[in-house]
Amino acid sequence: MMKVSCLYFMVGLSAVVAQTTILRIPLFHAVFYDLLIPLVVFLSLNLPDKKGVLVVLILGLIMDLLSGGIFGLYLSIYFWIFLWVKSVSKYFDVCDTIFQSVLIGVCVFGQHLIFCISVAAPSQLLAAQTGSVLLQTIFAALTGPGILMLLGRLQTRFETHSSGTEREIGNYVIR
Amino acid sequence: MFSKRLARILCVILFVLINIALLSISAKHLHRYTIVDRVVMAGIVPFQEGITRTMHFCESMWHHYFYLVAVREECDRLKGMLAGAQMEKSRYLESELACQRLRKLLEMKSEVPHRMLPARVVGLDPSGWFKTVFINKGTGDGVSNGMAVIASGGIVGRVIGASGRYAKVLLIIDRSSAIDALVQRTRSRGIVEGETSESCRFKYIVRKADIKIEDTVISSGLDGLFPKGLRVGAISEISRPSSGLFQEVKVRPFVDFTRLEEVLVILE
Repeated sequence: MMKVSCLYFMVGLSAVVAQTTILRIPLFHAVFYDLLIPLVVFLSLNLPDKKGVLVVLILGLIMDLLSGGIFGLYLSIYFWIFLWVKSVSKYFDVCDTIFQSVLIGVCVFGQHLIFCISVAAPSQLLAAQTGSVLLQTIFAALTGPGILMLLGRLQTRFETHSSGTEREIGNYVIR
Repeated sequence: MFSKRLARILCVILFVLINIALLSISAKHLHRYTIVDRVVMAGIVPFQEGITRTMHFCESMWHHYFYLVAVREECDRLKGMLAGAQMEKSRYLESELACQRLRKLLEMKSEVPHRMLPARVVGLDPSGWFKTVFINKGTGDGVSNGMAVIASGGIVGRVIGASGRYAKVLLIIDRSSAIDALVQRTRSRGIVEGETSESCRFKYIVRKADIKIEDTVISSGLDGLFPKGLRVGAISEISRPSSGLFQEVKVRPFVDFTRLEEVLVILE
């Protein structure tokens, strides 16, 4: 399980590097949302609490260190998304694509809302960001389930490869 | 009476003479077109023509079809060369643009009487709500917290965190950034605060202050962070509310933060 945590930590780091470099260019900027959100959602659904929360907190810490916002903002957002998704998953079918879509869309929108409150955004900044927030939310809802599916496949493949057999991996919600 | 040998020699000489005589006669009637000529021509030339046409056909086939394989190869080779040349041209263009930017930075460096360190922007803030960038110079190069960062256009921001090789720079367009500034023309003082990616707020400009659109705003040097006289931006919007002590002024930064690549860190 430690290997799986390391795998997601590496995946998260790659996402962090991508979204602080290539995805910040004006072409992608308006559309690409925080790619760590689908990862946090996936970890919440598929990893045991302690392992999952550890990866989420480390990734949140890294994002906070890279960001110019209030320290602890990303860490808090990821942590609460992790807990919220875990609790919500008890009442809904997490394999349902529409549910996943809504879940990720809500998380991305919520993150923007918290950012907006944290910077006490004036009307000009709000006006400048509204279009981008809506685009990112829609894009997250459209692409989020696909990212969850990719992460599920990655985990299945990784587990199969590391065990050395073709045994069935039965504990993961999303494949 | 004559020996056989002598008779042969005489015959040869005779033939030679007859031959010369005939050639002389023939030379007198040059270009005479006889029936024999016509017969020969009619009999031989069609074959010549056929063979020549066949040869031309073969030659044409070779040049237009079989030889095209070589042409195709040459075309592919030339396309490859063209792509290479275009890449090279792009590299040269990039070098030229970098050269222009660096020249502007150098000019800036000579204008500002402080020790400065050039740095390259290597990363951006992960969120669109906060405006920070990462530069490839850190404490190992003498960079520390609070140092001013400028570009060829003007003030970029200040260092808010530094590791051994990298530093985080808070841009002047961030909401938490503030610079003590003044209007260059009238010396009216105020505080420039970040607002959006395109504009900053110029706060605490008193109502009676004489300011106009496109007035240049410079750093006052009173905040202890930015040296005096560095360009911040141009006034883009002025509104005077019916009540209140101050005018509402917006400043458009001179630096294009979407295209920020090289900066200078003021070390002193």
